[in-house]
Amino acid sequence: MDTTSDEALIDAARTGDRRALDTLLRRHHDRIWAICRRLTANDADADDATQQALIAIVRGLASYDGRARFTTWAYRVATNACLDELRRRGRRPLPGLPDHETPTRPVGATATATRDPAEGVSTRLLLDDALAALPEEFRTAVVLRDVAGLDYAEIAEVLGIPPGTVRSRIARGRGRLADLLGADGNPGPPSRRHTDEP
Amino acid sequence: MTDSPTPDELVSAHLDGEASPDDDARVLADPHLRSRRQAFVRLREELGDLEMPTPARREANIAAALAVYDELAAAPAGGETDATVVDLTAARRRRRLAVLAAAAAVLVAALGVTALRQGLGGDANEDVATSATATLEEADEASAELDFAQAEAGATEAADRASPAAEEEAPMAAESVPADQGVGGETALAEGAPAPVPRDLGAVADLDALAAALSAVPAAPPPTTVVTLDPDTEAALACVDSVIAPTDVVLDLATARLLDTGTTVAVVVVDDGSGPRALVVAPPACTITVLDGAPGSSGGG
Repeated sequence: MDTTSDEALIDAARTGDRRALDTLLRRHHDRIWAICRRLTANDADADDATQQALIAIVRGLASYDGRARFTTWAYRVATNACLDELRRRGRRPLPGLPDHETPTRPVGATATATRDPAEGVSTRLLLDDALAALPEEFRTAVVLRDVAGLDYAEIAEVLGIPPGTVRSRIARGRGRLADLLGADGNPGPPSRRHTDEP
Repeated sequence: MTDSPTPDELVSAHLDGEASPDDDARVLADPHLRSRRQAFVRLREELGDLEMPTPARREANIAAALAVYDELAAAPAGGETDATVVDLTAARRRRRLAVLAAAAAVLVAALGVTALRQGLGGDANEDVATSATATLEEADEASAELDFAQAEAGATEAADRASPAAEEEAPMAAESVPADQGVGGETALAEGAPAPVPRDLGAVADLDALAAALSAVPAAPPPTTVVTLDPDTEAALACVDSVIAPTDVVLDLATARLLDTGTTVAVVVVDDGSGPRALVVAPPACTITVLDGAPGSSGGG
């Protein structure tokens, strides 16, 4: 595995080292795709958005000034590319599965601890549906935290909002997702019991 | 307004290592919050449980990005672009004329239908009369607008017309653009050469990338049809008016999507006699940024 730092790869790519860029893109491709997959909620849109994001990263490489971590900058570009893709298509995320998979359980059904292939498919569909139902600002914050692994300060930088707002959006996003998915063992209508507590 | 966090905020911050020691202790001591914590942990696991794209998809995505890299590498670095003078003012006039003419054409059609209904119906019933009156008023407004646009475009004969009866004016409006040349995706413009269409620089990461793209993306061939622009691009172009002084010569016009801000901006390269400057105009407030590093840009902030 190549252990060259992102910054070194960027410097090399800027001076015409195509292989360095190739390494950099491969290193971050899957994470960017995962962000796009969770933001768009289907494979096809995720592919398109990922490609747009990578192209934007290449075009912006010359301007990357190193003030933020490369991942922070790259994920910001990716996030906007994904949201852009959705807006360009004029719609919310459209949950979808690969062609060979078939949905077997609607949103709100109980998730169980046992896992078999069909279970995995239905869980993914449930999650896609729940994510798609989430307001964009909550979905983005949760994805940047739980999929991209950014901390609150980095998410604040990516989204251009105060860290306190990040904290609130992540909590509300997770809360809604957990309610929609019945992830706390209480499936059904969204529960507000926790938020009513002092 | 209280700053006291909700239970979900407490649990969420605790899970992310962003809570205070006191809050951590509070979550761990409360069975209800502990249960919620478990739910959030499970959620995080499921969010991360993704089937990765196939190798073919991965390769295609990376190849597309590398192809752009190759294009950028092949482009002359910071070279001068072949500036094509774009008569933006004329373009605006033509666009406006086309829109107004199309609106007038619609009104003419409405008038025709109304007349037909009157003819067929014998005695004019009240709703037809009301409809005709309303349509005439609308046509009058449209024709007045058209007169304004034509006068602005230098059509002095149009400016001299003293807004005659709408039922006469509307057909004239329609005649300014042939009936088969309304506003739409595949229809030709009425007056001479088609309106210049801004170069689409695509999605770029930020302003610096925009400067690079301005020189890297070649000028599009002159369009032969009216191009339908998306609303974001229209909004950006609408801002261009506000940055061009009467003495400016417009050398280039482009649009791009800035991914760091998520906005579509217009870039207009103007020369006021002191040298070309590339200005980035961003809606909705039409904020202006002088683009450093763009070809022909004389810098600034």
